[in-house]
Amino acid sequence: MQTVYYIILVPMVYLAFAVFIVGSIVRIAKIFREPPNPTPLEIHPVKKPGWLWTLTDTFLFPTVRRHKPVLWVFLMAFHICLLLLLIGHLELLADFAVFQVIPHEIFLGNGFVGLILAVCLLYFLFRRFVTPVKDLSVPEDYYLLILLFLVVIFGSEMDWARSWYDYGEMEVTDYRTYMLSLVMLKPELPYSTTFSGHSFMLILHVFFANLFLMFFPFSQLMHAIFSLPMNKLRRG
Amino acid sequence: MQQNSKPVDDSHQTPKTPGSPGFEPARQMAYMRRAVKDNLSRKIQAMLNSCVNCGMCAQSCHYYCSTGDSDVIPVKKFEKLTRLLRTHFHPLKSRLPFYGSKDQPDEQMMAALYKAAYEDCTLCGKCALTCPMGINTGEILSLARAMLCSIGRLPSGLVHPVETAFEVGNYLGLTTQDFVENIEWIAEELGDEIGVEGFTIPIDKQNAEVLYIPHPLEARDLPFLLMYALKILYAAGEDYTVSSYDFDTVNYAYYQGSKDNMMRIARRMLDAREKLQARSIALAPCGHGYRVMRWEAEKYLGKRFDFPPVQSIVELIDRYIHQGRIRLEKNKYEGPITYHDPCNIARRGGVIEPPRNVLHALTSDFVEMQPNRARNFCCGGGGGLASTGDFGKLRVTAGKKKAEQIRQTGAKIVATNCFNCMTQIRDLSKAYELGIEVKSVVELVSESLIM
Repeated sequence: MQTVYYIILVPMVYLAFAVFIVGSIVRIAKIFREPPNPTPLEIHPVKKPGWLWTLTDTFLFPTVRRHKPVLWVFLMAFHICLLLLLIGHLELLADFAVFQVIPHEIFLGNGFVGLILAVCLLYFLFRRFVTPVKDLSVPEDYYLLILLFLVVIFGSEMDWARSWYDYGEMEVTDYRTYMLSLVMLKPELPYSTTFSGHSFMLILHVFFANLFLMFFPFSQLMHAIFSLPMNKLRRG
Repeated sequence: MQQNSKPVDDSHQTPKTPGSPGFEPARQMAYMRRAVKDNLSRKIQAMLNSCVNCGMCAQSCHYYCSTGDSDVIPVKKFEKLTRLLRTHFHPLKSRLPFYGSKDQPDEQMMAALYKAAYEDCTLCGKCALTCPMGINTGEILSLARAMLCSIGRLPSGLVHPVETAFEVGNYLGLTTQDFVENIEWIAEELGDEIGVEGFTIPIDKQNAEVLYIPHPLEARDLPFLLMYALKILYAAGEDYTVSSYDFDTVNYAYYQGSKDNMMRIARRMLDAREKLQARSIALAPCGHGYRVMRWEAEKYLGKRFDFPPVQSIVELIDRYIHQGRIRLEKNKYEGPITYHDPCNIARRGGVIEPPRNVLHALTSDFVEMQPNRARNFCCGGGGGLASTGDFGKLRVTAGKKKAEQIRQTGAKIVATNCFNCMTQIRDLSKAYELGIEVKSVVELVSESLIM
């Protein structure tokens, strides 16, 4: 069993990141291989300055807010929490003075970030069972949402255990040792990560996150990268 | 909906499209591959890659709003192209056994693509406004159109007009002689109406300020419409002319998806201006004609024209009113008037406020459709659908949303600025018993002129 744990926690993580980076580059290269559009196509009425509207379109989804306000609330909550989550994971690596502008404990959000994410994901998932979204959903949509939900739920459980139930066997220092060692290419697994009662959560979390990363370049998740240039194209 | 109503079978009638070679089945794949190569740009590739299946586009498509058929949701339409590109045109995936194939796609796939590209999309571009990623299904489907056009698989309404335009110079096949005679007749009539002895319409006048390009239908079947436009130009004291070389705003080649054919027709208008050394071009009310001359031709050439931007006549009228060059009798028409924004002029052309200014000058009872301006719904006649007789029923079904919109305004007159929209809204008015009059903005203005 410890071998399986090791494979998930070390080689598979490296593999996932490799697939993620190479795949994304290939996917982007595929687009840039095509001849460029001669001149951009504006959508009317043209609003100036274009780049500012592009940023608004990309990060605030005004079209969604206009047509589907409820979806917009969930989308905004989801994406903001995703950003907080990213910051949280970075802080597991090291202390960043920038993020401590608002003083907080690691991990960020006292467990609520994960909770909101899980709720949003469930909303996105159940939205897919109603027409017209039902009719256009493909298996990939369900697969991605469920996968992401699993990542979030196992990740959050570790957080909830620490922040709500004072579970003390796996500490921030343990995570930090593990993640830093991965970054330094000298993988090291602290005792608690594989032998404590909650280590299965970590292992499942990392396992699903690996799958998620490996699937990223081949799926619609690439919208994270494409949405800015796409909106720029639309604004001309 | 119309899934089984009509077999897609224009290929056997007129397989010969101007500017494209023969269509032996064995070579069709090669033609389509070339069309993909020529038309697949970075932008389209990016659009095909960034859909998140959120379903926002469903409510923006007048087809879906009218029928509720899940097959016409924009994402489902371009998915047919995506699948075909993946299985038959992808360098690697098309070689996979049980997945792709290098051969001609089967009839079912091609028929589905044809339906999506020519029947179920008017290229109105409303989905691009709603999509959080900015994906324009219309633009993606023009790639599908280009592919189908390259093998001659087109609706009949997009074949003959283009052929005629290449042969004669306008899509109706009106000869220069007839045109000149018609113009002379119009000059006589107009002279009588405004009471000017020996009134003439300048044909092929050099160095005019404005070259007015009429719609050939105006010149042949509906001379009164042309008369309206010329009357306004005369009343404004404009230094205008018409060309006997090109009198065709229409460019159905644009709807074929073939950029080369489009430019061949557009070039004729540019040549006409060049010959007469006119300072600018004004176009008769025509949606796609305006779009081509204002944006697409420049895009194709990769540079701006060396003369001021092409204008729709409505923009000219707006300027005349603003400068006080024409005076209008207000409220000549009774009852509320609404304005239908043609997609190619408003959303995809940028002429949004001028027609409104004009209508505000004409009436104090102007009502807006909901939604309006750039977000207006397509009437259902765009994309070349209004020019193909077989699509009559389809157009009426797809126009249900527009009919509801018009009914909601309670307007007596629907003004618009595009021939196809006028045809389509008239059909809708009949089919849904809206009890409205459909008029061109030009007509309204001309009738209210104080000479």
